[in-house]
Amino acid sequence: MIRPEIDPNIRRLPVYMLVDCSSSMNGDAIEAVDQGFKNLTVKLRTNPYTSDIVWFSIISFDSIPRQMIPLCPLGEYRGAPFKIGGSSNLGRALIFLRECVDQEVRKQSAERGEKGDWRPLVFLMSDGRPTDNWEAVAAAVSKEMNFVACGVGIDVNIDMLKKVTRTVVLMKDLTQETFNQFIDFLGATMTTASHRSDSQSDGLSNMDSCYSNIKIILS
Amino acid sequence: MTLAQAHLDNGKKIRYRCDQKIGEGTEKIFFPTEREDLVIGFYRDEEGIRDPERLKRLRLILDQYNPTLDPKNGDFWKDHFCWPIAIVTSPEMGILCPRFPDKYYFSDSRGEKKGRWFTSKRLTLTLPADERGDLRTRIQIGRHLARAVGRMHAAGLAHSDLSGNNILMAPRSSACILIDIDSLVVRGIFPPKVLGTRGYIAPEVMATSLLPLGHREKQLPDIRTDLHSLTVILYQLLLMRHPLEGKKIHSDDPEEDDRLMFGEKALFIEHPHDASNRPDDLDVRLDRLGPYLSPLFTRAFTEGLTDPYLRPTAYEWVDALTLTLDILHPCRNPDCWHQWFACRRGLSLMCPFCGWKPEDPILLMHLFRGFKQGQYISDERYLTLWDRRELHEWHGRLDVSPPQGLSGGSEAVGAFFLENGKWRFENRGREKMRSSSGKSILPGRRAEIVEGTSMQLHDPPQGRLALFQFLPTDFHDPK
Repeated sequence: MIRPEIDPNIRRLPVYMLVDCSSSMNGDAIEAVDQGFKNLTVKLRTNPYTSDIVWFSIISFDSIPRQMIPLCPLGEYRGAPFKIGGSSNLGRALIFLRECVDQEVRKQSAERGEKGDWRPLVFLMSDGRPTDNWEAVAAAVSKEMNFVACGVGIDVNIDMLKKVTRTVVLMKDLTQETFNQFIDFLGATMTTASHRSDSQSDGLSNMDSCYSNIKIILS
Repeated sequence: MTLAQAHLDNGKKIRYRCDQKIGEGTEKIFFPTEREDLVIGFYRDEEGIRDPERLKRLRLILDQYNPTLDPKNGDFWKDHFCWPIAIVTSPEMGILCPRFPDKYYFSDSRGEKKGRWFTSKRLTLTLPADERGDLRTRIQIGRHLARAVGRMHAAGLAHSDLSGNNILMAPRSSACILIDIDSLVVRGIFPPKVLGTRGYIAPEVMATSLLPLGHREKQLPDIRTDLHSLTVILYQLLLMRHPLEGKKIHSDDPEEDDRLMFGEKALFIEHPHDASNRPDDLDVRLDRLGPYLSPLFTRAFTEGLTDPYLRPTAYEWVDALTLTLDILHPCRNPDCWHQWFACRRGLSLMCPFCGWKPEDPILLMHLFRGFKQGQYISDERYLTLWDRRELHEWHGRLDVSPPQGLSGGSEAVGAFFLENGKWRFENRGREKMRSSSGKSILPGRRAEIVEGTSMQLHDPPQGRLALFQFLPTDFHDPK
């Protein structure tokens, strides 16, 4: 595979999709993931802010994590053939995610004059039934990245997902309007952040304010 | 009138009028109940009645998969789905459903307002003009439908038999409702029971319809085949013809011809590079629906016919239909029942349904958003303006969405007026707006608009910038 060119002048927004493919995701849950992905990538691609800067990766996990698509510019998402089965080793997947981020996401360095990327945005798509020890890893990793947990399936364990991140949404509740607002919010935050100062801001500072606005968060 | 007792699986009982059949489908027979707002549907098939799988499926559909139970949005979804509310266990297996609201019945003997009435030109023309719906209401109905289908898909469910028979439409209220929810399909859990309805079945399902169940290559309905059916319905609703039924004949045997036309050999009648299926009397071309819908239809009926994963999602349709509502212009021909048409650059300015042409150039308002300090990028969307057209908050602000429901929404923040050939904008909001000349338009005041005028509709970074341009009336379509 040819590595896509990185424009050193563009601050990329790396988006990681972390997809639970354990056996409990069979049926409606994994189908919901597929539709959710498509809706999200269409929006990211057609939004004038995000189409330029979003880079996208898919990591699926059951007992073992795999990077199905390494971080690359946002292209047409065709639907990934997710294979379902096995246990849900979220802890292991989060460690793997962190390794991918370490390799793929650029760090800001004033010394070397290198522009860093935005803090990665991670969508965890899961029914919230992990089977390994994930708590300690999750606590650490969720500080390094912006996590959005998308609950899928009829038996979704929302309380568990809330332990990974404060931002939990249910896929079935997302309408095209909420997608639109979310993407617009991403774009607007990134531009306002770059107005303020290029050096100090490398996160999506106030995601919470967005959610209070679009009312998709489960309180 | 004879009342009989039916037992529900939640322990309750309800009486129904067993001698007053009110409706009949391929799967169920319906009777009224003692409650005006509820009807009972008994399954017809003998062998399915004791099918434990069906019971399991119904329980999940009624409970966990049921969006109308949502404490927050349940009522909103009740406008979209006629979702069953209880399982009937005796005297026979059946379901208890809400009765369709009155707006979904014709006042005469036609009965329920099935989608079929509105998706074929021949049938639609038999309806009184005020029952047909105009282009605008049909776009709104399409959006309502796409939203309902999108909600199912977002939960990982497929309807599996979307067609003009399973959707009721009420053009006067711009509404529609999905019925026959009890045959929902979940991949890997609930296999489909039917392949679908002629004309709406996806090509991959049609092409393998003769293979026995369980054959490796047999394709069955799922979310992606729903997306094909949805697209066919939307195309029919807006253009009143079937996208695959053209002049091409594939076989001397009508059954075989059908199977090929909707299956293996399916060819879009408006295929951009293959005109062999184009009907000779194709009147309103797809590109007349504007720049948001026509590429989606083309994608769905070219690549999307053979690659189900390339079909636009239901929510993509919601977006495209919403944007298209903004670019409609009223047709001033009193005899044209379509009443609206989409305006776009590069096509002659006329109502494609009746040929009416506006006398004055038409004003378009292009929307931009702030990018970096002092820079704007196009939102790739615009509004067609006409005299007394209102401007709403969601046009000018990124952080405000258009209302999702049928009614409601915010008050207008402005309006456009065409007087003596001059265009003016009136600020009806509470904030001042700034035009390109640096002048403020205070609340309650009007300002003139000419070619190239720009206007900041709301403060940045959430506010949009509008740029005005005229669409000339003397543009002729390229041959």
